[in-house]
Parts: sequence; structure tokens; C-alpha cells
Amino acid sequence: MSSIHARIPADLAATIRKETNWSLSHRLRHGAQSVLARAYPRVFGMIREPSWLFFDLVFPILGMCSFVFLLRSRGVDDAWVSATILASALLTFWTSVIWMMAGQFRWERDSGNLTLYITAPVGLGPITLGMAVGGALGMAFRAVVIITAGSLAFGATYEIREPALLALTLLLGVSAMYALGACLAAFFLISGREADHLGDLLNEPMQLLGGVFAPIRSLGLVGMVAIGVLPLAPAADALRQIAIPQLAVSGLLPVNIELLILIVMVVVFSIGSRYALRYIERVGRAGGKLLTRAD
Amino acid sequence: MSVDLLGTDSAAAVEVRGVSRVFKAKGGPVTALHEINLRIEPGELFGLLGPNGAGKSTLIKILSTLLLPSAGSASIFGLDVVTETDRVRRIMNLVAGGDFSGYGLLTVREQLAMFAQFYGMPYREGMRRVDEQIEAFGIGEIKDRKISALSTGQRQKLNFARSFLNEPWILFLDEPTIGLDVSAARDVRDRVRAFQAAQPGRTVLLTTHYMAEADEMCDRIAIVDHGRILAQGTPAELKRMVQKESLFIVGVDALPPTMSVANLRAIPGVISVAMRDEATFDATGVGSPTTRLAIGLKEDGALGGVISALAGAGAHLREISKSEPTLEEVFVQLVGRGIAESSEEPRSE
Repeated sequence: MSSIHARIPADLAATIRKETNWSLSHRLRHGAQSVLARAYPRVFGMIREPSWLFFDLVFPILGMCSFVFLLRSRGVDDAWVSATILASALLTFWTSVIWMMAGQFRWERDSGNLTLYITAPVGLGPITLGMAVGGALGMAFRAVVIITAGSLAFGATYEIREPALLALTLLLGVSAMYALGACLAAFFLISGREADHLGDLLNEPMQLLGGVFAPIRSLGLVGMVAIGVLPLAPAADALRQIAIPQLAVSGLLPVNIELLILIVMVVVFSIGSRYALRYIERVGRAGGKLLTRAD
Repeated sequence: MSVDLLGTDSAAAVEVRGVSRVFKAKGGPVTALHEINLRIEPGELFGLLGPNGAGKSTLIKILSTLLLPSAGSASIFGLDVVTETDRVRRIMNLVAGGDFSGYGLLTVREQLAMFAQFYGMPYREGMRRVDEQIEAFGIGEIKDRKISALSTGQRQKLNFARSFLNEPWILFLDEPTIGLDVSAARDVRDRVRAFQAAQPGRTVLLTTHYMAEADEMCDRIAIVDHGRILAQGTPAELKRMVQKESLFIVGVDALPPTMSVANLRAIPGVISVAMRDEATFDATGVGSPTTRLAIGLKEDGALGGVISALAGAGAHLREISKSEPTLEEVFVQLVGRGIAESSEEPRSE
């Protein structure tokens, strides 16, 4: 030990002080790199498991087909077939929010990753954003496949007069969904396994309230409430109005209002998730069990 | 306080002042740490030795910013672990035994690259260090293998490689060799030593309940039980604490008729003598009687008088060896039970 001490630099404390004093640009670069690093396994990791890819695509397509066959058997206008295919694509994002965002921190905790994230100098914010970015990119591929397959199989058509508006709506809708997912991630971590069960139970009601396969307008007051709290609802309603003009009359609110609602949701859920992530870290450090794997 | 410490060269690598930690439990509060005080100097490899539930992991969690203390304060190189959490995390890393973290679908290299980004180094620098650690840990052959396909030993090497990426000033190792075979455990111990040697000032805090590992690796050790530090010092100092006398084993052909145990006890400096007749065997298997004397001395220097007396009486010396207590014996004496039986107690950490 004495020989080690003899070689320790006299200015070690100053060196460490300098090392730990990160500039704003350093922190911004670090945050951006961390987002991309955490997104990586979501985008590329999943491609490596062909069975996951197969089932992630086949099951939603089968679900979509059953709805389309039902609509056709009832002689419903083909515009609703196009709407169903569009809704199925949107639903892949929502499923990912429930399965791969909300429940993720519990999985990360049980696998030991959460401990490493907490003790790394990155913070949970960029990690969560990376989860969302990676999830959204991974699901975008699935959504494109679903729309392509649905369009080819059922001859669905879309009349997109304002592609920029469509892209903006999709971006805002997906952002709002994943921002809500970040809040839910903290809630699910605190609530434990019960939250998973609740998520499963509420899956179908959420789709109904989200107006995925039927116009939310038909839900009346309940629909109005849903459109104010559930990102899926204004996103689905607005996308249907933009991509299928003949269904614009079935929209609950004008597209501009629904975009405004989505913007508010993105802001509120993003701020909420920031507080929620800080809260779980604070509670976890105080309680001792939330952040670390049970031995 | 922390700024003052950081501003001087005397900042300890780890300073723990009166830290207590109480957990809520169904049967009532459980105190995992009782007013712990500890100072670890830069460059030390310090061991916390104790059974499961002793409080070792709780202390590591507090120091690694995973847990808040219920009372007291702690700092790493002068940075307070409660109020300067972000800065502490920039100079530390952590490896826990039995750690199966990571994403099974990523390869070894991708996993390390991901953490390199989390640790805040520029991309190219990060990738350089990733390849450096892959080389250092000899895991080049498996660098493109998925994490899910790794053995326990390979995973733990990966964990160590990850922990070295940010070249931490303080490395927390929580039972790091648990579940590893002898060869893999030796490899990681060698790497830890090399890691410390590469940059003077790097400090390691190791928790273990493997006595031999603590004895072999640590500059200093604290023996912890029921949330209290019972003793601390170098392994040699700890052994001396429980050894009231210097104990030598002296083997002779036979005790001459003119020499008795009572005669030996009368030699100045001799405290105790125990005698046992045994047989020793040579290479051809031929046995011969041997008398072994266990002689307790006030100090090592008294041995000369004993040897002179035996030689003067005509005894033929066959062997002389000094008997030292093991850390296990130190532990039993301090704790009142062996570490194996202690480890069977329910965990409070």
C-alpha cells in the first residue's frame, strides 16, 4: 500500500474535480449519445430474432384481417376497410407503448440493468427517451409492412392531399403515446406486477376508447373525455380524417384542434415523465428496493 | 465540507461518517448499518468481509448512490454521495456477482459500446476503450456472440470489462467472483490488480465472504457483522489481534530423557507447550516416530532459547514452522461463529 501511495499524484483531488465538472456541451452530447445508444437494441436487436419479427407482424395482420372480413360481411363502405388498416398500423405503436415502454423498467430492474442505469452518469431521462425513439423506429417498420400488406390484400386506398400534415399528425401522435409510455413506465415500476395485469385488462377498452376500429364520435361524451386524455384517440381520429377524406365527417373534432390536443399531450406527458422518473429514483434510493434486483 | 475536502490533497477515496441505514420490514424496522465510520485511502484495495446480511451490500449501495443513508454522511474523493450524486457517478463503477444485466440480443461488443456511450466518452474514444477491454479480458473470440449465449464466467468478464470502460477512480465490487470457477475468479482478480496498477489512485472497495479472496487481494479489511464494523486493519494486523502468543511447531525425533515439557515451560519467554507423538514417513514409505511440540512464546525471539535447550539435550530437530491464524479464525473469534453458519441467517440487506 505504501508503494501505491508514493505514486499517487499530489493533484489527484484537482484532477477528479476537473473530471467531474462536465460542461453543458459535454452533457448535451452525452445525452444525445445515450439516447441513440439505448435506441440501438430496440431497432437492431429485435431484427436478430426472426420469430419475434414474424409474430409481431403476423398477429397484427391477422387481427386486421378479421376486422376487414367482418366489415365486408356487413357490406360496410370500403373507406372503413382503409380506416381499419390505418388503425392497425397505429395500434402497433400503442401496443409497443404498453408492452415495451410501460413494463420496461420492471424488466430492466429484474435483469439488473436499472441498477447500472442509475449508477451511470446518464440519468433515466435519456435512457427513457432512447427506449421511446428505438421503439417508435422499430414499430414504424412494422406499421409500414401492415399498411402495405393490407393495401395489397384488400385494395385499400388513401387520398393524402396534405402529406406534411399527415406526417406531423403521425409524429405528434406517436410522440404523445411514447411520452405517456414514459409516465406509465414509472407507474408500472412502482405498482409492480399488478400494473401488468391492469394493462392487460385495459387493452381492449383502451382500443375502444381510442376509436381505433370505430369512430370515437359514436361514443359521445365518453369519446370527448377519451380524446382529452388518451393520445390514441385524437391521433386515430385525425389520421382518419387526413388520409381518408370521405370519412372526415365522422371525425369528432377538426384536425387542427386534435393536433393542438396532441401538442398539449406531448408537453404535459413529457414534463410528467420527467417528474415521474425523478420520483422513482428518489423513492428507490430512499426505500432501497425499487431500483435493484431482488437477491 | 465536501468542497474543502476536494480542495486538499488529503481527500480520502471513501469517507464514511456515522452512517446508519434502517429498512422498513413487515416485522418492524431492520437496522442494516449502525453508525459506520470508515476511511479508505486513494489507491487502496479495501475489503468488507462478512456473512450475508452483515450490511456489506447496503454500504456499497449507499456509496454507489443507489441508496440513501438514514443518518450520517459519506463521500467519494470528497464528493458527497447524497448531494453530489451526479459527480460521484462520473468517477465510479460497479460490478455485482451473479449479474445478468444487458440485452441478450446484443453482441458482447455492442453491449460494451452501448455502455461506453452511457459513461459519457466521445464515440471514437469509447470504441477504442471497448476494443481495449475486449483484448485485456481475452474475450475477442466471443466479441460477436450474443449475450444470451455466454457462460456465467464470460458474462462476468463482460461485466468487468464494462466497469473498466470509464476508467473509474473508485470501483465497487460486490461479491464479484460468486459463482465463478477457480480459473475465472483468478483471471478477474488479476485484472483488478492490473487495473489499479495502471493508474495510481484508483481505489477498489470489495465485498466478499470468501476469506482467501479477501486475504489475498486486500490491502486492508473491515470485518462486518450485523451492521457494525467489528475490526479493521491489514490482514496481518487482524491476525495479530487474535493471536495472543507466537505459536511455533517444533518437530524432533524424540524428546530426550533429560528434557521434559516442564523444562521447556521453564525457559524464559515460553508461555505454553503441548506435545504430541506422531509418525512421519519418508519417500519410500518407511515410518519413524516424531514428537511435535506446539510452543507458545511471548515473542518470536524466545524461540532461540527453546532451540538451544533442545539441541543441548541432544534432540534432533526435524522441522520448525510458525503457525499463524487464518482470517477464518479471526472471523470466528470476532463474530463468535464461522462465516458459513453466519451466512445461513436471513438477509436484511
